[in-house]
Amino acid sequence: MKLALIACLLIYIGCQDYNANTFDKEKYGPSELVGGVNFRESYAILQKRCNTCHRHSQWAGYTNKQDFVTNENLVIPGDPNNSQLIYRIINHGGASSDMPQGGQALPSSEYQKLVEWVSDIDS
Amino acid sequence: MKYFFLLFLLVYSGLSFGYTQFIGHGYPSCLNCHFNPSGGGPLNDYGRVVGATAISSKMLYPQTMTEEDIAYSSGFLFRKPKQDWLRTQFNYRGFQVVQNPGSSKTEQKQWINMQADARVTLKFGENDKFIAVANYGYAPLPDNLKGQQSEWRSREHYLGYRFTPKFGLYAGLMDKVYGIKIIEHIAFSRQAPEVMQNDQVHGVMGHYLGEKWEMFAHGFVGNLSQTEDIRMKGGSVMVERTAFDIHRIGASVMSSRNQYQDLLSYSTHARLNLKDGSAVLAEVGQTNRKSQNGADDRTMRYGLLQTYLRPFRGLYFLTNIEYFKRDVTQDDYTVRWGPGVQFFPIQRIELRFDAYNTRNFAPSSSTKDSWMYLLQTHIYL
Repeated sequence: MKLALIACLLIYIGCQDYNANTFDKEKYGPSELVGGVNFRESYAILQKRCNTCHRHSQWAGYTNKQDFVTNENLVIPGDPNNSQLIYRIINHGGASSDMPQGGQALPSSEYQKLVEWVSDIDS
Repeated sequence: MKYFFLLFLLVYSGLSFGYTQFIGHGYPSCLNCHFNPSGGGPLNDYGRVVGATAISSKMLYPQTMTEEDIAYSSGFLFRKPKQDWLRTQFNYRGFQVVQNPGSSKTEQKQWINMQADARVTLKFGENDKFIAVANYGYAPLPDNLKGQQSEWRSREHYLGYRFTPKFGLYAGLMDKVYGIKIIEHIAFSRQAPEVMQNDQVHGVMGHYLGEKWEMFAHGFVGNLSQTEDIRMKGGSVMVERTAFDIHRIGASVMSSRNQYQDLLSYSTHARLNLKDGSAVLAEVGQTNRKSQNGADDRTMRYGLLQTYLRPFRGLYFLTNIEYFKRDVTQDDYTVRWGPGVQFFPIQRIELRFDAYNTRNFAPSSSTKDSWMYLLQTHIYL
């Protein structure tokens, strides 16, 4: 009876396996990035500046520029001014929608790199 | 903002009733009250009695009830166990989170059922020489995994054997041994080295408890219910030494890797007994990450300072101060601080309020701070 109980305790399988490493392949895995040099650099900026908090966002797993484009308004090809991703990282002076949330604005070099990337996507 | 908020909810949780600040009650080792010597998970019989008679308030009991009566009612369903080989426990934790309180535009409130666990422990032999522990329960998922996984998980399942009172071996799914296991798993000291509430791993842990020294060595192969490529494999060592008879100082190192990243974490900590239930916890450490794609290689640095002051039995005033530098080569850093109140009105119930103020600092600019309140209910039977 006791041994049977011990066996029961140890053989069942937890159904959920979500933890801090669930998205490691998407975040740190081999570069399957499709989208040219600008995208590779932009991707690294997004990883560094955004995905620390946004790692559970759907777009945190995007490795293809097309993924960003097909997500409604996140990136509008050739139009950084109307792309949500670019809009959010412009520091509006502490508005709650500013990104990075509660943090300093992106260095201008990184911001420009993202703008270049969006601008260069064929519309 | 919304995602950060959700992230906070998902990673904030405590797993156990036993807290490391109880060194302030004269319990430096987690083994005093838990079956797992590194803390967390089911309480042993002694831990239940301590919870009932030293931690929780007596104010709701009739004055005729003695401490002995209270101790006898600390068992599962308020009864003294009828046998000595089986222990069960239910544990629930939920909280109301208020983000940006007082703001007409950005205030968000949400109730989260964070944890509902059923725990079973089989124990045999003198001083619980052999134990088998299972801990299964509800755990919420992030939005992008809902529907893809069950919201039920095995939090722990392991066997333990103590060869002598000083030395024991434990094998199975357990928390990684590293640093001070505080319940705030959102804490930078838990987030950076990836030792949060869902980061248990399968492995073997050795534990030594001497008069002055307590040591853990943990070798692990990741969570076997995950795919091979993302399992974090490695090991950790934590050493604590009693200082000035009542305090503890310690150090930890942990190295782990999967196919996509290598993590190396190291920290030093102190747990100070201020007596009469009051305590101070402090930890500083660094985590170095090397990723396969090179996109997020950095060394993170963190600091933690928590104070617990107990004005009378059942009540604790808390202060939490955290420092985080996400990349030691950069200038910007984050400070999170806030007061809290923890109240155990009667055994099996914990009520807690925490306020968190978070602000990022950089040499050229700093931003508005943000507030978050947390009202927590914890029930264990």
